[in-house]
Amino acid sequence: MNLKKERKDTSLTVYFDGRLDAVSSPECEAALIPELQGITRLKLDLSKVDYVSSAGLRLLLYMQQIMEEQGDMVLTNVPEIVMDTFEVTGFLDFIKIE
Amino acid sequence: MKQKNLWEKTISTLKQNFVTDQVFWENEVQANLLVLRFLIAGVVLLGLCLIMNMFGILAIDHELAGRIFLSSFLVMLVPITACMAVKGAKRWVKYTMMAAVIFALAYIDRVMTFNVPVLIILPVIFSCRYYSCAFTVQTAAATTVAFTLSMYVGARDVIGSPDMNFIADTASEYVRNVMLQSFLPKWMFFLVAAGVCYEIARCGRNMVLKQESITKFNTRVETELELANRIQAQVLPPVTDLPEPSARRYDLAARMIPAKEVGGDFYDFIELDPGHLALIIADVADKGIAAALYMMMSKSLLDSRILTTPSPGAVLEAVNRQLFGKSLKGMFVTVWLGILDLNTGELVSANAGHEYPAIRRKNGRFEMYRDKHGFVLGGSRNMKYTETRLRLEEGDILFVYTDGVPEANDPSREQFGLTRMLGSLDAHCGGSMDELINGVKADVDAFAGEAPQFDDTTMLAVKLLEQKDRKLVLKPETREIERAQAWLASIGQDMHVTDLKRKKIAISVDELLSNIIRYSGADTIELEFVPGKQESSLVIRDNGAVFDPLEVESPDTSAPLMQRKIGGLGIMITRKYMDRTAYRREDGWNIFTATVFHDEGFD
Repeated sequence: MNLKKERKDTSLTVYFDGRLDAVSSPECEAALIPELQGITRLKLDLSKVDYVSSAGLRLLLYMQQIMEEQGDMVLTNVPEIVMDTFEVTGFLDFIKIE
Repeated sequence: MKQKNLWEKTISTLKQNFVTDQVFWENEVQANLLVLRFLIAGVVLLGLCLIMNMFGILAIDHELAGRIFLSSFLVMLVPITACMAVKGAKRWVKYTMMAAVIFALAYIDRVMTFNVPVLIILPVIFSCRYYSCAFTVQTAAATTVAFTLSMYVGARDVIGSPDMNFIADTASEYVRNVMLQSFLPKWMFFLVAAGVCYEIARCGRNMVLKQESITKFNTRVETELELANRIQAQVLPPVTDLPEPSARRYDLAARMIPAKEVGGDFYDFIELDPGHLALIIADVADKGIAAALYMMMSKSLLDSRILTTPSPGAVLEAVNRQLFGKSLKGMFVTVWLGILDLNTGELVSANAGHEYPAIRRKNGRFEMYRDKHGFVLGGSRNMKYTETRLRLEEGDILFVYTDGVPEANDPSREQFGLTRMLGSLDAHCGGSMDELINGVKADVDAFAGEAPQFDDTTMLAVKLLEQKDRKLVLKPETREIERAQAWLASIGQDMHVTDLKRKKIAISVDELLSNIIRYSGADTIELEFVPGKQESSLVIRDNGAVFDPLEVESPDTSAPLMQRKIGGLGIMITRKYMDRTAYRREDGWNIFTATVFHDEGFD
């Protein structure tokens, strides 16, 4: 999993590349959570994500919880398979997708 | 009926004429450009004449000559400019140029009544390059008219220097003398030259027609040969004739790369029954249509005989008798024929003068397998063919080929040879049989470079698959999930499902494995892929604590995220993504089976 971060004032865009699964999610969590300090707008670009497993969902949920306190979080360029996973898990109704 | 035939005949004649017209049109354009060059040379000469005249070098009426030279010069410029503008590619170009030439020459002749007799023959010489008899005749007629007029006017006006030979008492007598004694002989000489030019034009025309019919014939022969090549390639079976890869215990690939000519190489593979695979590689001596026909015959005989007599030695004996009976002098075919028992790996083969097979034992190197050679098929009446038996183990590879491989030569005529072939096989044996054959082909091509190859190159490779290719053993560590994903990707093609479905399978495996790794306390996890006709299954075994994931209660997916517990989500995803799931406990192992139905179009 590769991450690319673009920060502008208090908004942050993260580009994910790879699988967001049981192996990579803990790494992403360690790399991203400290960055969220003071961010009011978080944008996650999932265009290059192969798939998201429940560990990945857990990370997204965690980030959503943090962002609800200090601003908002949107997902963008969500691939078909990820969209499908959001749907069967009921995530679709609770996260913002651009 | 008659009408129709006539109509078809007319159409075909028209079509033929169209092609011929095209050829003559191209010729005409070339001729135009040639005459154009002469016209340019003529204009330059006229320019010189003008200068010479100015200095009084020519013994003629300077004022008149100057006028004539200048107007001829200007008249010639017209067709030169026109011809250059259209690059010679217009119908009127030749008439325009010829008219200008005749006019200019006749006009000049008027002032040089006696001096330059050759001028009159120039136009017809130009005209014969057009290979058109009609055009040469037209030119000759126009030249005659123009020069007669010019001569008459020249003589009547006594222009230029009068020839003392024809001096007479009266002007009309002088004119008659000039016309009869000077022009008439010149014109007769011109007629002879025109006749020769007419013949040249006719011969040229015939030659073009003949050349064209030869070209047409050659094209037809080439087309037919190409067709033969294609038919020959099509009688060789594609790998898709075999059962789908997931239902096979072997990997097989075969290729025939024909040399330029139609050749006589062929391969074949037939599943005699679900447990036996017949393999053939053969090479007919010689090239060309005869070899191709002989190949077709040999192949049919071999195929039909194998289906009734599943014994390589007996098949070769019978086919040899039949081929010899056809008494095609000097024709023969070398054949290696093997029947592989897919359950035991036993290979029974017989060899009729063909190259030795190469065999790679699992984890070893490729080696030549020197089986007993019999005589070529079709070479002698009653030949016996000894059968050789050997056992292929799982992971072993058998490679058979024709001489196009070892005898491929580089520009210095050195041959690829068996040593290089074995080296190349060793280098490419890590992947599929398709990759093996393509790898060897690429090495042969790289070796041969620009040197032309005269032999077909034919190869067939078969590998008994190791059944444990379908199994993967993992340690209970999160890192191992990556290995599982790589393994899944490697068998991805055998799953016969869409990309989306494949990702769903990957997610499910991720979920199941991370559950086991985190909670079960197992020290070994086994993954196995079980392919089927309409569905495929993944079996996941672990020796951890008893745990039936199917008993986990699904989370409420409609509750707001913030109020949800995340546990159980992974199992729920798995159940939604797999078409069927089952759990059982056996001898201290948790066995979880996840099944997907094949997607349409992926069978």
